[in-house]
Amino acid sequence: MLKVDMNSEKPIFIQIAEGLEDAILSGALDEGGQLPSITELSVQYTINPATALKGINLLVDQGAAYKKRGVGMFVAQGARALLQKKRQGDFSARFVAPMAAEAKRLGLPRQELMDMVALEWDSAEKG
Amino acid sequence: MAIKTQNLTKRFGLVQALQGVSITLEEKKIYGLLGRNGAGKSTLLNILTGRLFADEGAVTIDGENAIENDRAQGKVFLMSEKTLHPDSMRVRQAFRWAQTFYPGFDQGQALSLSGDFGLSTNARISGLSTGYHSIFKLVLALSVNTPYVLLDEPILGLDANHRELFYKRLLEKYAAAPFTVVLSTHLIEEVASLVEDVIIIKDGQVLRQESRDSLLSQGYTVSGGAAAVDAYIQGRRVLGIDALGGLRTAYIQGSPDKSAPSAQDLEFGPMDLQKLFIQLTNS
Amino acid sequence: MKIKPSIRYQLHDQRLSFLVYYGVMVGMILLNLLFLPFAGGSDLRITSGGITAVTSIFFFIVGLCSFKDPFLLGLQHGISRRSQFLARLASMGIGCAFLALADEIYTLLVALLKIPFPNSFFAFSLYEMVYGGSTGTKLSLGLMDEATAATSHTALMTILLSIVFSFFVLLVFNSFGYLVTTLNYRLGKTGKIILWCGWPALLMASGVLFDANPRLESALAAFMVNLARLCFSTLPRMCLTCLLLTALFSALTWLLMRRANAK
Repeated sequence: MLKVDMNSEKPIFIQIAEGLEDAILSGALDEGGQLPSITELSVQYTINPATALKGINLLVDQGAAYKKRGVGMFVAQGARALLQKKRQGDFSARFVAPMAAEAKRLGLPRQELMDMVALEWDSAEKG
Repeated sequence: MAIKTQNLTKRFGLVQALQGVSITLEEKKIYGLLGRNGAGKSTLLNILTGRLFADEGAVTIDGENAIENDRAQGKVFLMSEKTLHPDSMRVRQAFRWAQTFYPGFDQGQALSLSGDFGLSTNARISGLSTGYHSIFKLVLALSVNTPYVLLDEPILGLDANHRELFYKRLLEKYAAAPFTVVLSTHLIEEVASLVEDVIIIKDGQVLRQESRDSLLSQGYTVSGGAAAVDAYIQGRRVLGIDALGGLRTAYIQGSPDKSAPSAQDLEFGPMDLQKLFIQLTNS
Repeated sequence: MKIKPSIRYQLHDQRLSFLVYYGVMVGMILLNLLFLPFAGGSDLRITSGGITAVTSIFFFIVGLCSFKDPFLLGLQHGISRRSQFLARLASMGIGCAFLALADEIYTLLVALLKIPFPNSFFAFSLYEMVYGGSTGTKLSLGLMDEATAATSHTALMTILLSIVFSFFVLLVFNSFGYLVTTLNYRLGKTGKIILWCGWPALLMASGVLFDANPRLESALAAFMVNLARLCFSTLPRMCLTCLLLTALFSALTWLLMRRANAK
């Protein structure tokens, strides 16, 4: 499910957090279900356990996960909606802004870009 | 609870191997001891474990003088580049003796790890290939159960599968019962994600000792056209510059200043450990 | 302190050589027994005299081979040089006691062969040969005052004194071998060359010196005889001399060992 790219510019703990968010959003991790443990994450991705903990703590801070003492970390009820809302908020900055900037650099007219977006939207809807 | 060194100095003839080295290795942390070949990593580890004597300075383990002290040294295991076992000894005999000297040594674990790595316990140590020589020492280090385990160039000669297996076994063991691990290496990329703290040494002196994250957060990279980069780096603390055609990447200490006049044509990125290391240790 | 495991390792390190050594010794006796019928019967005399003299050389060589491997293995396992040295003293004592005992047992076993082959086997311990024992055939070394006194000991006493004698002789040889190898370990390349070429050169030089001054040579010889008489003329004196020499060699070894680095 989750991939860690050591050469990425993104810090590893953020990659871990985003990977877990993706898994919650796609339904791979159920609300109320258990998250992978620090040890599992650490061994699976050969990262320092402190880094894995930092990643999971990002989810906890957002209210998407919580800790059951002595048992482990769990996905909070309502986490999916919460993350969706957060990602919607980030959407423009994360995807649209770089796209617009690139289109501008390539000299792509505004309308053409809009048409492209509409076309992709339709094909995504069809599946 | 920690291993501490104070002002360690060591000279080999004309070579100043260590100069005023003061470091702290806290308990239950994974450290990267990073330095180029000949920077003094092995000398430092050998002094910590009493294999070499420092010319000056002190070493304590959990507050106790560590030099010529069996009890203090009983808490440390060093896997040095050169093995100190007799040539004729067999792998399984080495396990047995390790248990004689370190009561916490787990022979069962050593045998099962040997199985995982395909290390023949019947082989003589002198007959092992470079890779299996490293594996032999890693198996010892992962079975010895001391609070401090020091590994000098642990992945020397290991293929990708064995490296991966080693990292996983190490982390499993660490997760089950945390202990201090020092990974001494010049292969930074290999251990960058594993370590919590970093000690960088160059020419026998400690350049940096801090957590990996805080080290990386102190710097950033900026890339773009040569003119824009040159304009941006004026008056900033530049660790180094890579040039590729008309493109430049500068490694800068401090935090990015995106409001600078030349900033809009530039791309900012985080520092990575390997690059920071190369810039810091280039002479 | 981790002295006990160090002793265990050091004894283990010597064990194989002990087995080989006595294997060879017993093998030689067996070989003699095998050829006895073909050797024209009673004419053949097989004398096992003073096996300890051979054992001393053997244990000197064992001493030469006892430093590097245990020292480095000790360092690998975090054993201080002090503990290693103390363990070394203990294992040396144990080794000497074992060999002294084994030598005497060997001598007695060969002596037992006298019963079936009364004319072919003769066995004496080194102690009996030097100081003379109950069974006679003392060497006339000329400087053993106690030789006649020793002859009057009972058989059991002779056995005991033989063991004591062998023990102290072996101590000297073993500790000297160990000192030489420790010195060799500490020396750099130049030092090694000076050490190993220096001895022969010194001997040759003194030979030339004595040729030129015959009077010096005879004075020195007389001095040596007197010194030997002083140090070795009785068993207690000999034991004390051996003990002092062992202490000297061991003290020098410690001075070399206490700052030795892993190589």
